Amino acid sequence: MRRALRAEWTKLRTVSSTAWLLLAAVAFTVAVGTLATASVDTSQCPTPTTCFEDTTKLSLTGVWLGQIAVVVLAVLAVTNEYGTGMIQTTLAATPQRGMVFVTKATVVTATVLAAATVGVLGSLLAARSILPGNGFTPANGYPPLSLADEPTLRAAIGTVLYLGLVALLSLGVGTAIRDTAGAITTVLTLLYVFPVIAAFVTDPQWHERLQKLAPMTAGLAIQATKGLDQLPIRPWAGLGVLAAYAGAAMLLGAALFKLRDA
Amino acid sequence: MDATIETRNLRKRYGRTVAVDDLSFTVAPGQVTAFVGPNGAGKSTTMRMILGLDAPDEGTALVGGQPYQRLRTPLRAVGALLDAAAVHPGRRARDHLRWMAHAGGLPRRRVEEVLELVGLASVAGRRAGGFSQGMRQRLGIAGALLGDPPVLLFDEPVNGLDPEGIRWIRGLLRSLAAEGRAVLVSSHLMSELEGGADQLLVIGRGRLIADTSVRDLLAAASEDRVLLRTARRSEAMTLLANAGATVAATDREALTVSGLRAERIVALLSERGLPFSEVAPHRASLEEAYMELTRGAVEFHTSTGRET
Amino acid sequence: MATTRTYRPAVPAGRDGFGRLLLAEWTKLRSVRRWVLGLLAAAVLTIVISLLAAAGSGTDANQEPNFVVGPDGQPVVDDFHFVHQPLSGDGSVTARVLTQEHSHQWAGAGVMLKEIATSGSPYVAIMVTPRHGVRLRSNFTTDLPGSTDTVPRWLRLTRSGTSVTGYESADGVAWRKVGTVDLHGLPQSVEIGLFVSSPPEVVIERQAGSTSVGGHPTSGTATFDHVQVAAARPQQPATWADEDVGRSPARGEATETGGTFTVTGSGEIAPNPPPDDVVQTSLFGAFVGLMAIVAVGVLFITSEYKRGMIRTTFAASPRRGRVLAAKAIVIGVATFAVGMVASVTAFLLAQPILRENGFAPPAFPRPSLSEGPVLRAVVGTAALLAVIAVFSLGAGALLRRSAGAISAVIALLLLPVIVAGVLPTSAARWLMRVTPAGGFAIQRAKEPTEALVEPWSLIGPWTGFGVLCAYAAVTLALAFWLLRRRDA
Repeated sequence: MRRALRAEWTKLRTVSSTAWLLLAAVAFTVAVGTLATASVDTSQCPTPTTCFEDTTKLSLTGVWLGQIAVVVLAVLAVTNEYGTGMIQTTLAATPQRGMVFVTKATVVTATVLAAATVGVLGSLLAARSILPGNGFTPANGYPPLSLADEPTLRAAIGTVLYLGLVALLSLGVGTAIRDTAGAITTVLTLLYVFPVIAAFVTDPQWHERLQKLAPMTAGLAIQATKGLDQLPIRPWAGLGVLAAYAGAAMLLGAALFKLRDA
Repeated sequence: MDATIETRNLRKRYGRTVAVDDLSFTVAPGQVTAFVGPNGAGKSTTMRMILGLDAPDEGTALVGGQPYQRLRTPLRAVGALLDAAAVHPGRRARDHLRWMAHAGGLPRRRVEEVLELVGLASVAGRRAGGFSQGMRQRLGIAGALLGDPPVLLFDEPVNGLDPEGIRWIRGLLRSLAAEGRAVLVSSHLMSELEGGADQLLVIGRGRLIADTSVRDLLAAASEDRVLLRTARRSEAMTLLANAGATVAATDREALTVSGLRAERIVALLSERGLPFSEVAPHRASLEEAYMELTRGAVEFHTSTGRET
Repeated sequence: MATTRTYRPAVPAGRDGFGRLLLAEWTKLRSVRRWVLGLLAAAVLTIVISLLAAAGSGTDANQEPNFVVGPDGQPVVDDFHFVHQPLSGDGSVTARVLTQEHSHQWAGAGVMLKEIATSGSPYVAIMVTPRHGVRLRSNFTTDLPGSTDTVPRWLRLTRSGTSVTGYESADGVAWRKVGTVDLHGLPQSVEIGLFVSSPPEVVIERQAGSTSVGGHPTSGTATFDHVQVAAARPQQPATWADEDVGRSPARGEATETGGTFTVTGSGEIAPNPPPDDVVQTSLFGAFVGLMAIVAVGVLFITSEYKRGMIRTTFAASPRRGRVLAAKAIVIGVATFAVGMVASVTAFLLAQPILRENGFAPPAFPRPSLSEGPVLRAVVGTAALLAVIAVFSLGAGALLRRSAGAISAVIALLLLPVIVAGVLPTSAARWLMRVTPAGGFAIQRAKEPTEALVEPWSLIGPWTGFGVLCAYAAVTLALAFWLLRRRDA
């Protein structure tokens, strides 16, 4: 197992795209989060009682874009091996396919979680320094962002886990489809098209149903720190929806990986 | 249009690596010219520059006296096989040749003709993804022959072929040249081209090492050498060395002697009563001659463990 | 051995030209089964998701208790304060608007002729506005601009048969005609007099993830003097009555002292279509269909790079710009054809479902493909998909990697739509102007109402589509430039 882990880590580490994609994931997350935070000030929202801006959630908006790099990284980790035929070398070295699948998932997810932690902490730090300048001061009813605050901590940890689950979802789909373009398109459709449809459907029942079922909208409920009673789905339950998608994709991927010829 | 390829002072670098350095040669019609050198010597880069795919940093490459970009119907002027794997696996062999025919302004019947010519007619409806390496090589060659061009370039065409396929390629190259075409074939293994090539371009580290006919090269490599077969090898070696010859042991019972004529060797051996089973003029293999030429000029020495 | 005779090709010289290149690229496209399936999948997804969207949409716009219908049967809002008296036969009303409160830029104060003093009945009005000058308006649809002057202003309406003419004047002496409208079927007896309106202020509030649209009524006060009603035939002297027409929550009032009328009114006289755009709803599946289009568009070029086939392509056609142009035309035309089938089918199949779900006349007039905006939306959806395909091709040629190109195109197309939903309106509008996501506006067949918050309503149909086209063109131009520069 340790040997297999080390082998997978070496494979991931030695592809130059890995470093770029991880960098992109962090940079996109922090940059978009910072832009979103900077675009809002208390003039649009004068009193906390009438419109209480969820500054934590706002500062973590960057994962909307950052997750794309995670999707590409995780999909490529699998499909590149099929594209180059290296999968045969991999399976010759470690014939236990279950082990190959588990170690690959472990290594990719661990790497993504590490990058996600950097991105999330960076976004929160950036927001912490920007927000007071835009009027979000304790005097106006907005205490500074702090991980000591229980909902903020939950949002931060949850966002890291969200990106980890997105990586697992992508790995599963990538293993099942084995084709870079197809897998990336499928995952991005799952993530982005649901919210667009939900934003459009007027029927309130359908609207709520779609928001509960969409992996991205439901999963990102974990970022909410205010107005929890208005959320279409509870934070941890929402992350659970994404986990269900990721689990289903991983099961499908694992089953096909074991059953199909390499 | 003349059936020639001509390069003048070609130079190409990728970053800090000089891939091709001041390369000038001419490929004449009516013969098979082998373009030989170890992996990474710059053969493929040169071929891409001839085809206008890579832009040379310096120098020019002309086909029939014109730069490739200037050709009005390039597929009718030059046929090229660069990489047999360069086929979409989801496309049928016939469709692959069809789009090429359209792009080259060629009649549709040529597709069936070249499929027949390379022996793929029966599998033309199959998707290229299911082809063996050898079938893909044949498909690539079919593409090169599509425009019935007077100039042909093949990059490592024997790669992945079985012995029967190699024999087929050699015959094909010879017959194409015999029709008056200029044929340039690259290879990193000289032995693959033995008996197939007339002219030899040897390249190492991007530079031209030799531009010679195969016959001359072999003659030069065989010159003044005598093959001696004897059971008492070491005694014979001492004897001949003392007589002023240079002796090399090539085999358990065989010696290569240079510096002495065959008659003199026979006389010396008979004088001492040393038995021998054969004394004959040495015929160097193309491989041997090539190894001698390229010694020191190879990009990846065996000692680096990178030669493949 | 070495013959010197040069080989002469036995193959006849073929036709050379752009047409052959198009044929070559078309052969490439149609001969990869996955791409053909991808294009078909785009059509099927567009149709299926559109039908699902139609099935999942509902409205009670026709059942609302206070649903007001104008003379043409369209939903309207008709709220104002009316000071009136009956007029039988031909005649005129004249008044000078002395002052007008700037309660709303479209607040109105002027004279009106209305069939009966009830919401939705036919009318003609000439009025001054604080910001948009003098307007002659009729039956919720006609809007003729007069001068750009504000108060004080003399206004007059003259009835002759069923035609009513509006005049304005600075001094009550020199009159200028603003326009004439014909109120077909106007009865002999009508109500005539002064009116004041002041539309509600719409407030859009956005918080991360949610948007609330609210409004609060405004009230405006105006004063009139030199009020005079003249009838062609002598009639019984009438007395002024005043009342709130419609149901604005803010009450109006009117007083008269010494010939000067002070009138306070609230509300709006305007068409009031529900915000839902039934045409766009029936084409909504394009959002999903485009994902397959992006993949095929990108792969149409990156697959050649991946396997080195691009070298065969460029060896066969050394003029690389023409190859790229041929590819763009082939993928664009093929996608447009597939998109047309998908959008027309989706539109025709989704309309009955939508009518079933309440999107029926009078609140929602039946859209027809012969109407300009509807045709623009349906054909525009096919064009949208085609331009997205070309944009994807350009991105693929630029990046040469399918993973990067697909994710970049999808991020540029969809992310702005999602992000714009939570940004303040100004930032959202800016986002729609600078990203290709604004292209979805071409699917709108209805003027967006002020309260509509969908991002693609923040930009005009042609403007949005233009931005998308500009993205495709610039990407393609950049790819073209690099293609000639880079080694294949």
